[in-house]
Amino acid sequence: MLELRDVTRRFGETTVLHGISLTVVDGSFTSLLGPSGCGKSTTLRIMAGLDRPTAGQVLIDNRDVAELTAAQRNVAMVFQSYALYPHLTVAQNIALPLVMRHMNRFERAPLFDRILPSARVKQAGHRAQVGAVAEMLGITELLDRKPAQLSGGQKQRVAVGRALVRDPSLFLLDEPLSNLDAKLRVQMRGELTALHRRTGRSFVYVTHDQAEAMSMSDRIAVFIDGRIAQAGSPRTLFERPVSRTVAAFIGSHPINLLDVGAARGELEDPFGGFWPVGGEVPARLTIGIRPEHLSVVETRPAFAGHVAAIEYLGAEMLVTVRFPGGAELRALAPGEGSLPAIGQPIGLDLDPARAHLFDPLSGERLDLGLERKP
Amino acid sequence: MRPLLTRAWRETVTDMWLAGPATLAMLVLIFIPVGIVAILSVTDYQFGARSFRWVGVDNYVTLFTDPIGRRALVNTLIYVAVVIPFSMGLALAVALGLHRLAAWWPWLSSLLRAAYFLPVAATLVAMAIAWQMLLHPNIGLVNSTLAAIGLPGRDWLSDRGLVLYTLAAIGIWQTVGYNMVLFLAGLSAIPQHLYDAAAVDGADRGWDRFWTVTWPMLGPTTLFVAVITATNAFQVFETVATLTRGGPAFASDTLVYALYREGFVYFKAGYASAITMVFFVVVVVLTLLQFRVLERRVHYR
Repeated sequence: MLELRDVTRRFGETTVLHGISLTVVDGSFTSLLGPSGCGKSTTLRIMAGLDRPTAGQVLIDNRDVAELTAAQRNVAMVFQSYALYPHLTVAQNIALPLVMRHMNRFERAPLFDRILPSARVKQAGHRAQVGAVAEMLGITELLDRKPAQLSGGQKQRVAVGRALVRDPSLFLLDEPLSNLDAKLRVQMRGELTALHRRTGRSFVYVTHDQAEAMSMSDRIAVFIDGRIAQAGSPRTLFERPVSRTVAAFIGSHPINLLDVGAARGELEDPFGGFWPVGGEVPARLTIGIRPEHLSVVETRPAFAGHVAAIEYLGAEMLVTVRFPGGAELRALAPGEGSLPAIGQPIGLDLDPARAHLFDPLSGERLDLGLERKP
Repeated sequence: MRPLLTRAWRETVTDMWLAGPATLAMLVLIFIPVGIVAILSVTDYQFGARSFRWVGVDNYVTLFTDPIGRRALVNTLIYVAVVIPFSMGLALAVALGLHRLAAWWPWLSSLLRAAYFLPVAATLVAMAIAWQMLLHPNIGLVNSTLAAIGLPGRDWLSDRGLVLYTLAAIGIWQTVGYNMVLFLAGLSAIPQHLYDAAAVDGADRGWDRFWTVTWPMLGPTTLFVAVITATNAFQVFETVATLTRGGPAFASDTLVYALYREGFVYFKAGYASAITMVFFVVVVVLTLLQFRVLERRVHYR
């Protein structure tokens, strides 16, 4: 189990991490998700031991590992740029962690590595291990090549192989898929989750792509400006985001966020058909509704407006509806249906339980709901 | 209106305009002089003489068999063999140190870098006078320092067995700064993520880091530095001319100084041309070696 306690990291005057606390349970797949510059990669480097926190503790199995180097922590890391050694073959790249760990300086020295009997025995063992890993990743025929002769996806596999070969207790992956093309990325997603299941080790996965994080992890920590805005299962993040920033970051279609007045419990248009319920209502509210939760209806619509734009996406259509006051909502409609033409009236319905209410000033989630007026 | 020339012809004219002047300059300034020198090297021509005789390879035979000619050749090879490893080793050590220092103490690092580079920027002839004073057998700083710590002084520039190595030391002093700058550039081009990967893989201490990442990644730089250093060392002249004039008794005679002496003191243009051709071949071979090896091995393909 890996635990970060109140980890702060400053580079000179700028504070990159503000007291991060996070627990990675054994065997879990945890994603650190956030926009670039939010501190997620720094967090990963601190976990690896490549960087040291300015304040706070890193614990592995309840032991403070501040004094341990990256290699001593027995963590493996896969880098965004793969970081393969260009002068070594694929087999040598994968074997390097074994060589460094199991062979002493004499056995590693050129010439001695061919003469010393102990070195030869160990090398044979390493070859077997490298061969097993290569077979698992399907790169056996690449073992004699140099990294310059590999494609992006092959380099990716070699980098994973180098991490895998010494059976680490923790895998750290720093945006490992971001240099691959879209199709390969989806394929590698599946391979990585399969690898996670097979090894049973903890994975910590840094990404800025919410679809990757949602589809692969069982726990996500959303990083915003050097703080963890919310940590939880993908379902929790999607269904109960704690703030409008998290709500805006999660979801494959951007959420609708509308700022509306709520004087004396009456909502401004286009939410005139709803009441805020569940507690004291502030003077203004930010209402968040995902396009997936709005549906196009012909009778008794909750919202009535005009079609402003239609994006055809194949399986579905994203329709932008404009209301008389100028407000807009985007809704998803099934791709095979037909929609009114642009400029024509259209009605939308909403399951009020799916609406999120936020404080417009702090952006925090309010413990309120919407109710359809009879 | 139809243009005067077809398109193909116009493009040919443009090509001639672009490449012509440089080609002409190279022909006039390099190829023709080399040709003339090559021709002169098989004659006994002397400056100012009205005639010359063809002597075939006699000049070359003299250079390789005559004790003085052989001496110049061997001295040059010894000089190069001493300067290359020491100049490169020291430069690499200094570059590694300054590169490390730059992370903690940037201004001190750049100050030292400037100091190491100073001998490169300074005029070697002027610096040679400073060296002459430092190395003076009686009043020089080097011998007085040795005396202060109880060691005997030496005749640095007039001891036949020592003088070549003294000159080599000055040559090393002069080239370390230049090589250091090249190594620093090579070091800063090594991506940080390779060091990170090495740290995770267990190559996290200085020596392992160096052999796993730094040294292999410096391959192209090292080869380039080696060729540059070799080419410069083969051309050693200023220190010889100002400090020893090839003496004592030709103990510090080198190829280029011999060429100068034969050509411009004794006016033996034919023999000097032969020396020039030998020197020319060495430089061409080094350059070809650089291109070949640099292209193939060092880019890890």
